[in-house]
Amino acid sequence: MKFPLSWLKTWVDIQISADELAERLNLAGLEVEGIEYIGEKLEGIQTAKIEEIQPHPNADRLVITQVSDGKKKHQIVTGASNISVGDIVPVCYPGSVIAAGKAITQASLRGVDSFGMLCSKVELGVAEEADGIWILDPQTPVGIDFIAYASLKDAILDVAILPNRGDCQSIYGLARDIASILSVKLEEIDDKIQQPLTQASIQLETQIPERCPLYTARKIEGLKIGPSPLWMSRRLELVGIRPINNLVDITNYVLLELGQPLHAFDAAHINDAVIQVRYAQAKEQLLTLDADAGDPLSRDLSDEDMVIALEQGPLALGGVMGGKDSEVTEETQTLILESAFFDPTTVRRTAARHDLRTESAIRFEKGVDIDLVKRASDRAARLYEEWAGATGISGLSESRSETHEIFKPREIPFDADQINHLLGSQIPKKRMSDILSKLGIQIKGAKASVPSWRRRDLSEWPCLAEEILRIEGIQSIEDQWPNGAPFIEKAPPLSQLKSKLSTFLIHQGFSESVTYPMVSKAEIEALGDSAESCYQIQNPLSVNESVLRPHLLASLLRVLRFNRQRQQPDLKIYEIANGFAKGKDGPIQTCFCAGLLVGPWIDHTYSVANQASNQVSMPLLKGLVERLGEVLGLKITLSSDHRPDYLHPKLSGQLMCQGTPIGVIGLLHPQQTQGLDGANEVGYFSVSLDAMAAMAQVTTVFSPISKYPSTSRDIALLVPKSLTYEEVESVLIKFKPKLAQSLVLFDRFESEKLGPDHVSLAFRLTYQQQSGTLSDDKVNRAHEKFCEFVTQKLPVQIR
Amino acid sequence: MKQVINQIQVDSEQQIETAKNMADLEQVRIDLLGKKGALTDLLKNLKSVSEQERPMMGKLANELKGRLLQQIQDKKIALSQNQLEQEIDNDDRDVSLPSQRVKQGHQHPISQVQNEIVDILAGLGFEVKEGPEIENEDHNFNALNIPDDHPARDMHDTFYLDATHLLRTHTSPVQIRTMKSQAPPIRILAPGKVYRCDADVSHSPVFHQIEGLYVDKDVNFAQLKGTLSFFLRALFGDDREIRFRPSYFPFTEPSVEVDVAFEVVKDGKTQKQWMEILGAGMVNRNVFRYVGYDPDQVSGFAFGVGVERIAMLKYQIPDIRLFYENDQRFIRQF
Repeated sequence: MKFPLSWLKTWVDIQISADELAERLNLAGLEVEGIEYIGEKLEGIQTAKIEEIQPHPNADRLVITQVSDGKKKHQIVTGASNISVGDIVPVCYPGSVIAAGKAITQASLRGVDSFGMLCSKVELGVAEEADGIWILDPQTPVGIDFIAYASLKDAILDVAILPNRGDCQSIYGLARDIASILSVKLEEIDDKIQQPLTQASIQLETQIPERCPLYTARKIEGLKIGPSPLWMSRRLELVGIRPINNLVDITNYVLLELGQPLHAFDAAHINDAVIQVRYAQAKEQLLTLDADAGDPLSRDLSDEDMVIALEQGPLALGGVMGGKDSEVTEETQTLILESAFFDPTTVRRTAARHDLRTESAIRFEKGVDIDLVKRASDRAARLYEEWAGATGISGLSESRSETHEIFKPREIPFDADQINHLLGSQIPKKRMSDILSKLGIQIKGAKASVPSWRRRDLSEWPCLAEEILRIEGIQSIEDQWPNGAPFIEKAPPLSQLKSKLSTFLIHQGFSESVTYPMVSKAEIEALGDSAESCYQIQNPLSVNESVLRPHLLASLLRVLRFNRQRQQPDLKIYEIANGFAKGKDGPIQTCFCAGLLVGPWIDHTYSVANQASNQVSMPLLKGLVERLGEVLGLKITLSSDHRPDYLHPKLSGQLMCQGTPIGVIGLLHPQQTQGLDGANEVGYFSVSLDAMAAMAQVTTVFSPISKYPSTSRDIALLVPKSLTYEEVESVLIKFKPKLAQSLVLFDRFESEKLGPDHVSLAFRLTYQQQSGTLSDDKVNRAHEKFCEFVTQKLPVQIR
Repeated sequence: MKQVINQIQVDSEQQIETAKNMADLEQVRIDLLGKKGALTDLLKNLKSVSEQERPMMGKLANELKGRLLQQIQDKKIALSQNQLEQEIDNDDRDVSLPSQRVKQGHQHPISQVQNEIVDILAGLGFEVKEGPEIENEDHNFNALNIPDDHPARDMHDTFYLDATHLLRTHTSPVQIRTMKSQAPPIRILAPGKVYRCDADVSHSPVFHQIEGLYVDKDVNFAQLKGTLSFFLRALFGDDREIRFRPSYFPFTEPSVEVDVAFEVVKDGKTQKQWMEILGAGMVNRNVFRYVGYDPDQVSGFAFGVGVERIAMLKYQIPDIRLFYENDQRFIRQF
């Protein structure tokens, strides 16, 4: 809410600057989000009366005026056409400064001397545009300091009112808190109606007293509609409310001043009928004040909307907005003024249901001060009396639910030791009760009595600690360490996995991405996944972020596309984050580590020899994942049993660990890379960290190192291409001689000589034993036998 | 005979000396000591020398052989040294070519800051806990003293998934889950993604928070202040100005917000501005009641840190959306 400093100053004596005040408020828990200085440069604006207007001898569009400041006449040449003799207008004489910072000087306009300028609202910084000179009310005194009179120079504090501080949603409310913070006096509310009151005669019928524990209404007669006084309309404008006429403005003024929303009905419309407070009935409608004049549409009411109604139908949405039919108009002479306490939750729901977050609703939903309901009505009546000519003001008719909780005084236990124990402070009890009583919280022995305006907020004794802390100042509390020794535990498995994998992948040249877990339905379906099994956001910001991803691929593809569109074609990225799916027993959240690889493995290759082995390929991806497993102490293998649709039907596979599928690797299916602007070979890996976190890591057990020399033998095979490497290798491993410690593929080639259907695979076996040197004979015999087995078991030839 | 020996010596020494390469040298050796070599001949011819002179001549010849072999050997070393130098000299491989390596990847700044925060607080005995990002109303709101229709729900623009599920709007539900599953004392940290339907320069619908919770007997506000002051000094340095402001959160009382000062240049002048980076407070008694703790027996403090805010401050990043574009030119800077 916006708080003009000048208005606050009518309630409390503030001797410090707006900046200092903002600082004090911030440190007392009232967050000042900004200060707007208006009319900062204005100087020397006064009021004057136009006494004479003469045509300019040399210019059709100019006139020569003689204005009076009450003592002296001044000649001013102006181009304005909206002025008449007798008008009172703001004037700046030579030496004065207008809002834009320009100093006015004596000038000669087309040969006629001009000693100043008549001002429009634009020159005074009050409006963006103006039709002409600002013609003031004829009652405006002449020759006065207009800057002060019209609040032209001010500092407007924008204070964020937190949900617990409904009591500060008014000038008076904030001033009351400032009075406590600065230890200064708060002015009294002027609510003394001067004339004797007429009989209270309005009939009220509250059908839902639990939702409206106090409803008051009074009749105000003999009103003369017209513009509000300048000071009032200026204050409304400074807070951001458009002045309309005195009858409407007074209700808004009191709302801003005291925080109590009021509503004025045209009495002619009500015609002395019984005013009901009830829930709307089925199919009731109401044309509210905000209705579009050109296309007025009534709102359908819910039976949970609280309405102010006559027998025949609703007049207003209680606490939210009035109806068009009973609105104050130019013809209004008598009005019914409502002041009430409406239940915060009911108002909140109605405001939300009809999307009407009005000034009234935002005050009721944070709770208004029950003790101000009647005083606000009196205050408004006082203003109607003074500024709208009210001649008949009735007493208050009221409907009050005496047993409602809101009328019960609230007491909470007060124990200074307990508060010091919670704060870790040593504030004397006397000091505490002084602070609390300044805030209106009365201490009687071990009880604190909460004032009416803080009843929703202060409910338990720590609330008192909070009040003491904010007034005493947090800076006064000395830092302490938590008690006792820290109980350090080892990081949980998932955190450990994350940090190990991050380190590993970064060393492998991958950069981390952090993406939104929300993608579009189209992106999910393009990968062949079912959007049905994914969670959809009911109120997404856009369709592009409306479905929760089941895994990370769609998000990583976005990163890939984004970078390729920005001349960064090669990419090695990974992300560690959650994917989501609907499960039988609720949401399933899985933490994945996934990556994309496009372009060379080593970033900068410039020779053909290097480039060949540097492209994204399955052996490269497999190596990456195997090493990733090693980092975690897990053995990861590839199986071709199951592949997701988005991967290449041949160049991909499922990753297995300890018999459980833990992820996938492969090149993306060529269909997936079509939109990627030439990125054909895109490598992808994804593993579930949740699956791996549950697995036992392989603990290293030492095996003795042989002291005896090793010897090696090679076997080169001519293999038909119909056999996969895995098929060949599995047979070789099965029949490998016991003496052979290892078997490694060291050469694979194809050639014209071998023919198109065959490939040469050469393996090296290393022979060694723990006890004694192996003789050549023994090795040769074992190797020959091995070669025999291989040719028997496989359709291969030894080369 | 002696003359012959002298002659061989003179000739051979000169030939060894002038040998230009290994082949020349080998030729010298063959000429001298090969089957028909001069010295071989000489040694063969010793028989024809008188018996009286033979020992003397034999000695001279053998000494000569030894000396020449040594000279050949020396020359060999010199020549191979020479040859190696030559080869090195002729090596034209260009060492100034660009390096070839797997370039180091880069960790996302959000993760870097998150890890830094976790490391600092882990040193104070805070243990990492994680929780689900899809939550229910109970854990996200009700348990945290934000009942239905509470105006504080306006502070959380919530993404709803269905009647019972929503995307958590803060990491505070992890507090509830932890307290429901274990008894005090508790000292945990819960880093993770949170969601609000809000997007502009300083708001992202997805952002990261780190929640801290400490519950034990006799936990007080001064300890909260001490812990946060230590944490912020560790993160931003001892010189950084920080301020505590009273604030409001339904799940803590008293509540505070902490601002960090930073400098901005406005109209050519350096100005101090405050950026709010964390919210904290003493755990509200209603939260303890909800999880079945006796609020008269235990007390606690909780805090929530905005990771992006800290990263923006630390690296002077002007727009929160840069974090989520993952432009490699951005990521590589960190």
